[in-house]
Amino acid sequence: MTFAQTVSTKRKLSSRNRADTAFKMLGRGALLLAFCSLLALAIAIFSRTLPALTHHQITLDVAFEPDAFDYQTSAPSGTDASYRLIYANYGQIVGRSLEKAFPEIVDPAEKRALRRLVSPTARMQLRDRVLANPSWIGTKQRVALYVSKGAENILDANEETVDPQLTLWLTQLQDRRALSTTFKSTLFTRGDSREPESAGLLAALVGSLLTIAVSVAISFPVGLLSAVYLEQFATRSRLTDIIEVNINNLAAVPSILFGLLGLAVFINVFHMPRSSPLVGGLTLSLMMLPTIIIASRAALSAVPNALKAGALAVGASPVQAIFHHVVPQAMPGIITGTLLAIAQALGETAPLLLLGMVAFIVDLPSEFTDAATALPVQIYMWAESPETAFSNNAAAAVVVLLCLLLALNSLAMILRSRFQKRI
Amino acid sequence: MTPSHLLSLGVIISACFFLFARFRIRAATLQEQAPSTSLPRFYGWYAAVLAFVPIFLGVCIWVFASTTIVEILLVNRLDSLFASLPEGGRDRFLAEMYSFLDGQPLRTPSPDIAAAANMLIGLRTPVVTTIIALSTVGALSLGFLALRFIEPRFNAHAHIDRTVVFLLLLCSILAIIATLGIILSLLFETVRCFEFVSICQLFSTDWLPRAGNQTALDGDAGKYGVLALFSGTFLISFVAISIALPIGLLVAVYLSQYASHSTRRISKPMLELLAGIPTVVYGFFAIVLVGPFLQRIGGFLGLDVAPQSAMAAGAVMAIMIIPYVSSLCDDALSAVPSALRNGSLALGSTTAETVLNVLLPAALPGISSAVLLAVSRTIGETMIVLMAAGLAANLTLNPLASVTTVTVQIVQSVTGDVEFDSVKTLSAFMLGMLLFVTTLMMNVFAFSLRRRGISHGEV
Repeated sequence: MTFAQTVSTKRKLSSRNRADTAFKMLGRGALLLAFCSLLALAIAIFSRTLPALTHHQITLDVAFEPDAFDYQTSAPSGTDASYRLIYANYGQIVGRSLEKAFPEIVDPAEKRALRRLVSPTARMQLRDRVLANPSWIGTKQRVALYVSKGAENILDANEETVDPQLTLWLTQLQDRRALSTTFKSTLFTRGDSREPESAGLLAALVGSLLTIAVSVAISFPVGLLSAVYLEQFATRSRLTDIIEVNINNLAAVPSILFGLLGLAVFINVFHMPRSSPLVGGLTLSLMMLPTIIIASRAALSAVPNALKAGALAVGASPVQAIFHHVVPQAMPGIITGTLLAIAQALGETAPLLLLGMVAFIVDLPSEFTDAATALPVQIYMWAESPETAFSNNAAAAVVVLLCLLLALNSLAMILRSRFQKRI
Repeated sequence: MTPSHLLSLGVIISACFFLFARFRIRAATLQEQAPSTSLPRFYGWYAAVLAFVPIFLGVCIWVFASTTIVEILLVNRLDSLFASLPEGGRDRFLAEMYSFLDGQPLRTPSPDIAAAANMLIGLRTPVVTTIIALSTVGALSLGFLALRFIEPRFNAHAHIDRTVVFLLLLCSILAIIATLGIILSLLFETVRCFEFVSICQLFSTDWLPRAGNQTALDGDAGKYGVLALFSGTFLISFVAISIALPIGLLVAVYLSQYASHSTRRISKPMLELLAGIPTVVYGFFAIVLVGPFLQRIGGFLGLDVAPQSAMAAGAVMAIMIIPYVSSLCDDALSAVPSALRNGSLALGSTTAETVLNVLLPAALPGISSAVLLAVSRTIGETMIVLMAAGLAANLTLNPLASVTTVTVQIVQSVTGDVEFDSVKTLSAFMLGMLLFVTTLMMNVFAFSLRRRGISHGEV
């Protein structure tokens, strides 16, 4: 090898190594890009969650003047003293205390506009407080009242049209330290509503749980039993081949087609109630079946054959050997697969949309045949709304859904690691 | 009485027969001084299972078929009324009656409909009573029949085992029934759809479905050309794949060839996390961040980006399928025999050269199958496109324009009031059928490619 050749080889080698490093960096960049998108997703969601979880309040000196409670000239006969408290003119009380808070405002039109600061629910807030403490009548109390939707939008810096008058008043209130934030519990204690501040996701959550209950009740036993059959009893035949191809195919069918199946079979042919967790659960159970069967088969085939052989040797029948010895050993794996299938079903939206679970549900569903909606569908409905406050609610619902999924997945992971240790 | 009550009744009857049978076989063994073939509890199970079968069938009929039975009876009773109605009037009459019964009448019901609804309610009770009576009598008679069979020489255990295996077989057949159900329901409604829409019409570009009540006004059933829908679907999936394939492939190469063990241990679960996020969350992400972001960038560059562009939907879908693509590519790369990789490295190639000149060409069938599977996944994806893509059918190749997809139109056609006799609803099933066939062909082709790749690698 001549000197010139060595030099050119060395030069070539260094450029080849540089190309290798560049390729490695490209790979690292791709991985980073994937993580960045995960991060962007997390930021987009969490930045919107906080406004949805908080309520802004205005602390006001509220005078409960007796004349507001004699607003109704006479109580209808047969009513008790609380009638006077329930039907008092709380609107007037709220208005007067707002006017007192802004004594510099004299124009009657502006005085009326002041009421736009507080939410219409403020009257209910006052009513509930007075019903709890009737002795407040005739006294002056410091009470925190919920701000209106418009004020909430300004305080959360939402991209909505802003009322300059409200902004001015709110900055004045802020300077006086009369504004505070509280945790908005309505999100977790109520059903859907037309008003974003009183809309909650409990009805959707209950609907999701009912739906999942139906689908697990069907797909877990059926999936487990068919896995046992395919793994332990079936001899290779044309029928079992068809079943296996079918299961793999079913796993790859787009979820929306299951919705069409449910619509055509359960609703059109069997006339089951539309929008019900029963129909949703039946449809989702068909989607969960392949996942559960594949996972259960893997778990069953991992059980050492000696266990079954031993049971058979001491006189157990095949059914006894399998159900008393093989299946219990495979149970952690089977449950892991089922949990993953539940996680998948819990986030499924498209088939439920087709089955009419995209409904405005205020009351909590209590039966499997009640009209219901599901958490992911609720997210869809809120996310589609043009109001930013609803979009924020959707972000909060996404967080709840992701927490549920994370819990299910961690449970599955814990089970899996325990199982691996034992074998 | 509800089906669950009947089910509880069945459990009680079965439990009684279990106890009877066990008592009887114990008495018989004592009497005949001969040991029984099976343990006493198997005789109990034998009787209990036999008694439970009729109740179970009864509950199934009640849940799934009672409405249909009642409807058939009602149609028989109202034969003369239906004869006077115009063609298709019977289905409309029944639909109106059901919506009246559900408490959501489409319009003020005519006296005929109210009378029919009353008759239907009147028919329900005798049908349900018959089901309950027949299944109870069946349970009792089968139970007593089982008790007569029971004697020490009778091998109840073998019978129970056979029943269990039969039950297992039934469960696995359910997977076939589900697939058949999908195919048949799609096929049935598609054929009905083609009664209204000619096949030639499918190959036009106009998609303007119209609801039944609109059609009733002027007789125009709308236009059902699917070309624009499929072009939109493939445009979005092209955008998604052209982003996700390079990234997914590079991630797979980096993690399998370069990354340290600890990087891999952290990265894999993170990617799984990305894969486990529900699609509705990605849709939300597209609405609140990616869509407005792309629009702002477009405005900055002087491009006209639609608020719901194919680009936004495709980009978000790409994020969704990156973990899927990278795990499939990882499988394809690891299916390449390590002798090839080691040989290349031993000859002095750098890792990058090994990947580009040896691994990727050898893994090409596997990677192509990954692309096909990913495309089939993006075609069937609903929520992201429903939230991030548009509703109007545009035949365009511009990724910055708004397009619609097959899945979006399926959802649009069957949400709201569903009438099973309107072309709009039927067209959803027709689209579903096309979607099913497309994705099935892609999956089958992808799996055959993958098998070829693996067998090629083994040689």
